[in-house]
Amino acid sequence: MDIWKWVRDRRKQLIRDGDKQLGELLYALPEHVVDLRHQQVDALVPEAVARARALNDPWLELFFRHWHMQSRVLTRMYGEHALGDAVALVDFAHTKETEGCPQSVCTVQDLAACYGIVDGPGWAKERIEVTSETLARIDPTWGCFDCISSEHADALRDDGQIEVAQRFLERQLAAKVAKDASDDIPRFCGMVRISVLSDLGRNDEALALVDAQLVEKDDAVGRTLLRRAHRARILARMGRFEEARAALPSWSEYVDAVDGYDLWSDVALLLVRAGAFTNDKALGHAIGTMVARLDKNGAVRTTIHVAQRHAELSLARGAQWSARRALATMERAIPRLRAPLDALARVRSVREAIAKHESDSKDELPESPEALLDAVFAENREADAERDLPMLEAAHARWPAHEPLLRSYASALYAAGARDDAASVLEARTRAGGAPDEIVLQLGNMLIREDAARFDAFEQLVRETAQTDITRAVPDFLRGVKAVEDARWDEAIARLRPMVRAQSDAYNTRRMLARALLRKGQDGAREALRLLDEVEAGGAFTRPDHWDRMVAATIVGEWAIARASADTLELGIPEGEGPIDERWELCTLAIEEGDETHEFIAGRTGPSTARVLFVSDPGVESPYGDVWAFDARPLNKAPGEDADEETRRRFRWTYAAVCRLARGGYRTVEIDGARPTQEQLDRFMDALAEHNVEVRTGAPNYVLEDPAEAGKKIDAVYLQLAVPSSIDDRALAALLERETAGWPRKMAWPALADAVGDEALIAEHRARSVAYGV
Amino acid sequence: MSDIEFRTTQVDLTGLMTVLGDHLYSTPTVALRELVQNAHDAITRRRLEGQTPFDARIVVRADRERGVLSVLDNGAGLTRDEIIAFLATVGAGYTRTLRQKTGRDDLIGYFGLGFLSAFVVSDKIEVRTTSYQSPSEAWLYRSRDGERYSLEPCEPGPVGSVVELHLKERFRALLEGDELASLLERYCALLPLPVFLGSSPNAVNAVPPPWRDESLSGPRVASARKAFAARFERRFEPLCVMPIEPAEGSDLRGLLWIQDARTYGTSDNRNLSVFVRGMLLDDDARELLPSWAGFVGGVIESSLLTPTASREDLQRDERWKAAHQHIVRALIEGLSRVANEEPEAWRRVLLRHNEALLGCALCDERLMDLLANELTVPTSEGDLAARVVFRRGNSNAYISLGTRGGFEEMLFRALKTPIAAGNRYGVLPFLRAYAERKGGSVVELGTEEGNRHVFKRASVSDEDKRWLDAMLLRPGQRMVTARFAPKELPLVLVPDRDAELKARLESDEADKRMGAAALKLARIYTKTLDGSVQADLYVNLDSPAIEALIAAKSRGENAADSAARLLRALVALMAGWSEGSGRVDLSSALEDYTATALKLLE
Repeated sequence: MDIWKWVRDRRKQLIRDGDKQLGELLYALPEHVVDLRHQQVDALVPEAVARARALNDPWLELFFRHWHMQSRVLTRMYGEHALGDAVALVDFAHTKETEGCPQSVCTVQDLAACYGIVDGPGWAKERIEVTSETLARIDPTWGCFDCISSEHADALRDDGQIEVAQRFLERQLAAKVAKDASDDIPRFCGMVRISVLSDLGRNDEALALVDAQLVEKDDAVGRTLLRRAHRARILARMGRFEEARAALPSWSEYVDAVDGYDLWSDVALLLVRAGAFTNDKALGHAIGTMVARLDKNGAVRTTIHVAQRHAELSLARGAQWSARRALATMERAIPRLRAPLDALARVRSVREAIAKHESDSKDELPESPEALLDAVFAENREADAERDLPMLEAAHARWPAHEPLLRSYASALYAAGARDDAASVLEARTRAGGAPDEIVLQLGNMLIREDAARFDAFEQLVRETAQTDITRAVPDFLRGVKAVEDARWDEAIARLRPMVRAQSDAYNTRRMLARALLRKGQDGAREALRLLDEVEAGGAFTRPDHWDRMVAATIVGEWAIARASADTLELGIPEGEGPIDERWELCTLAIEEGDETHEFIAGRTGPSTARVLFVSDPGVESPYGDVWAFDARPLNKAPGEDADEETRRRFRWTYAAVCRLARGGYRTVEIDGARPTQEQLDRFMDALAEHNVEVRTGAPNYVLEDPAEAGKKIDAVYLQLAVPSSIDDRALAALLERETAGWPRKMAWPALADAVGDEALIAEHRARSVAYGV
Repeated sequence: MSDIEFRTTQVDLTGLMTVLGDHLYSTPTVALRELVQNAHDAITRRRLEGQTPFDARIVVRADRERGVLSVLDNGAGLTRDEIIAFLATVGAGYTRTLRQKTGRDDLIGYFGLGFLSAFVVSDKIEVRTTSYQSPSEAWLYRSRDGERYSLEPCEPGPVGSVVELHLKERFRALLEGDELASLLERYCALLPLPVFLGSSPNAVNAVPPPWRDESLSGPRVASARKAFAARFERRFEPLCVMPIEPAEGSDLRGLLWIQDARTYGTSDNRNLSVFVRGMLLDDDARELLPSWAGFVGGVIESSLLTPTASREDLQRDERWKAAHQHIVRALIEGLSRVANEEPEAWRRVLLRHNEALLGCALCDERLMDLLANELTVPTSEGDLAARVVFRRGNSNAYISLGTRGGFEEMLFRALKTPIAAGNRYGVLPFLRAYAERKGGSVVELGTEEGNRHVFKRASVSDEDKRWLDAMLLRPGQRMVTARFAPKELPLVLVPDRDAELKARLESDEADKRMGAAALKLARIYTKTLDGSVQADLYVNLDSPAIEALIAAKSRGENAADSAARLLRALVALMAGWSEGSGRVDLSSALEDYTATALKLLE
């Protein structure tokens, strides 16, 4: 059965039933998969599967899950980590609901491939068996004839039966041609045919085949990259190194082709050996990245192969540390293989190469750890953790008790990407007891952003080993700082406050706590002010502290303090005393309310205060006129230098509001009706401004029914008024009536009339509204 | 009539073969484009070769009554020999010769096939032409099929050519309504010569593209960009516009815009119009936009992109790739600029395209930087910003994959901790990427890993453990003592999905539904699973009930046994929540429950 016919039909049907989104996914998902858009695949699969389930359509679910598996297993080399899902999918694909689905066969292939990725040679026999079983059930007209034949040949190749694989492929090709010549014959079992031919030394034929495959356009991104890499390997094997170099895709375009890492690293090694490729830090980084990713995904055998190349290349450019790291990865991988086969010999050879290299290049350590650190951190010396690590490691082994050295060693490990090793070094020192705070802090800082469980363990470790209260408080301090970063103010205060009490010189803790306290109204601000005074008394006061102090002083109304800080910061406040109430530029205030952040336009009234100028819709509490203190660290960036004048003109800073200093007490009233002249409107606004009423006009091109002539439209205006509490509804109604008296038609304000409660007024404005068709 | 010659068109096979495979030039709009382009090149030629200056103009006319579409230019015109050599030789345009001779890149034509396109849509074509080289003579070319044609002298007119297409019946709709004007507006938008429609005194391309218009400044720049964008974005309003400026190695210029229409994560409304040498070459070059930009439209021009022979697509060469990169960069920089400088527009972009942007952020680090704090994800408490999800989860983002919906999910709902909907587009990978960047953990509820996170292991004495085991467990269940919120909840029963999978695949029934070798492979995996535990019973040591229970038992109080039996019945009731962990006889549990309650009341 033709799965693609089913896909086409099902897609059409879904679109017909109004589910265009899901219908399109039937095409989009396979395209994303073969074009290596892994992120898009992961983004859309969960939803697609959930919707297939909601439709109670197991075939559809099977389709999406299989293609996710294709992406994870075949293109991204998830081995060990996908086994459970692959087995569950096979199980799902062999139930009553799914048994007729042609994609069921593919799930068996997914599982076999998954084992092949964990350990291709180790599981070769089982893979041959399972593909043989499937091949017996299908014929060349099936879409999966190609995949299963490829997998079978691949398993034979992994089993060392190259010639058998070649004969098998010839047979399958003949069968394919006999049954269905319409298909793309050069690409039938494309990759494995190239590999087998090249393995057999028939490189001319392999090259011709890969070229024939590359001729066709419209190929998937992933397969094209692999074909180009195959082409490079064939050329390299033929000794045509320069051509091979030119044919090999660059690492930057190849990054997502995880299933081609083995191939790419193989070509790179051949080329480096031939002097046709620069063995530099960038190459080391590329292959190191490959090893890490393969290892993480559980592609165990391939990890060993690529790590071996990584080790050889690292040694060749003098990066012993990376070589040893690669060796460690290989050693860790061995027990995860089904059978070691040649892996032990590979490990041995790398181990010997490293030993030889080390005895050849024994560097003398400087006479003291200080001298070593001076050398490593000498000015003008380019930072290169990979280069420095062997020396730092040797020095740490020689002077294990030297703490600055230990910290530098851990930093270098971290910078080189060996985060676990970095943490382990610091952990070991912490566990030994009596570790200085710097070490505990460095460790905690590394872990706070990692897995929560890891930080829990750190906390436990500190509890067990700390000898002073200060050390004991480190985990809480880090959690507190993180809470400030995440705007969890209450938690930050709860964690940091006890520390401040316990330590008179914990200035940074005081700063952090003050920042959180600014969000806690007058009392919080008062406490923040006190804390900042303590920082100043300690001689640790900085410019940013002045900003926070100014905000705190503003909140509690200590204007002399606020003005003093503003002067220090040279903010150009005119001399004087009492509240700062300037007319500065417009800005945007970001006001947090529960889980939502509202952004309102506001006029800045000082360095860290602003008055909201946003007129809200009627019926909600109006923020108009509210005065807020804000954190002066802006939330946005100014326009770049290349920005045009208009952009600069329109730009407004956005600040996070921290505390409301005063309520505006405004309410919003709306008016509808025929548009007066601009002059009348301007006069109206001026008149209302005298009563502190702010007027906002609605969108232009607003039309209403003509009250005088049914069916006719007239130009209209919609006004929102921000009205202060000093004017009551009745006075406002009178004012509006007076100020719109000369307008072409009577305006309507039914809600205001309701608020006044005068029956006649209510009736009149309702009638006006109806006439306008509002 | 002795002046009339009857001749046959020469076919330059190499030129034609290139295009035979494509269904080239099959609509009158393409023919129109080609003829305008020929007119443009004729004018350029006259400027290059002629001596006297002139005011260039191209006029397109629609004669509805006669069904004739005509294109007039005051370019170089053709001599008799040139008609034979160029107009009537397929695949040998003069433009190409001229470009090679002069190295000019403002000539548009490529393959000398433009004229041929007109025959696909016409019953008859007439060309009247007067060459600047011999202004006193003029020629009338007539043909029905492009293959055989007649050539005769005619009354000399002004220098230039008029091409009249007598459209086939089915293509005459082009002459009706505003279609022609709208087409010309787009096709000729970037042409540097004025193109007029009928007798209108205003050129259809009188307004230059904003990036070429140096007179624009201040607020007019933005409105000009938007208006220009609106001409090309026919389905949606442009919400905000981002310019593309030339950069090193790429002469690309133009505009990109965000569409003002709501999108889903996987919507693809991309459209991009590409102009090469001033003519619209491809109005659906969406592949030049990044695949994640499903809500973006654009217009670009470049002289470096190479059209394919069909003239309706671009060659995917190195320049194409460079252009693609250039556009991606411009788009990302443009989005950052909108975010920083046009807050209102940016709010709207986020509102309209939140879901699609989740996917974008995953595809590009720079976008993740820009969007990490802006986007919302759907949760059990409504749409919340990622930072709020982590904040309310105390640095954890709890995610439900929707497929398991176990009891632990109920638990979080009770705690009012938002649970993100992991089965919605982009949510899970976005929150993971967010956590990687800003710290925090993503906890997938219902997975082993997630359970470890939610139920913090804690131990009791071996003796207490044995007693709890004896009192609370049923066969197939395993006790895990832990601490978790809310403390009002004494126990949670969580089924073990692996054990279920193992049981299914290792049963005899599996042999019937699966091939032997496939089943063998699957069983190799299930053999590694521990199938003895069908469900874990998490006992909450933070629960006052459990605390009191253990205390009562230590004091040897009889009530401890009764209370334990009540709790055991509760486990059975809870098992009903999560399918699969069934296997508990509900009716006997209820009987137990009632009996215990009665006993307590005695």
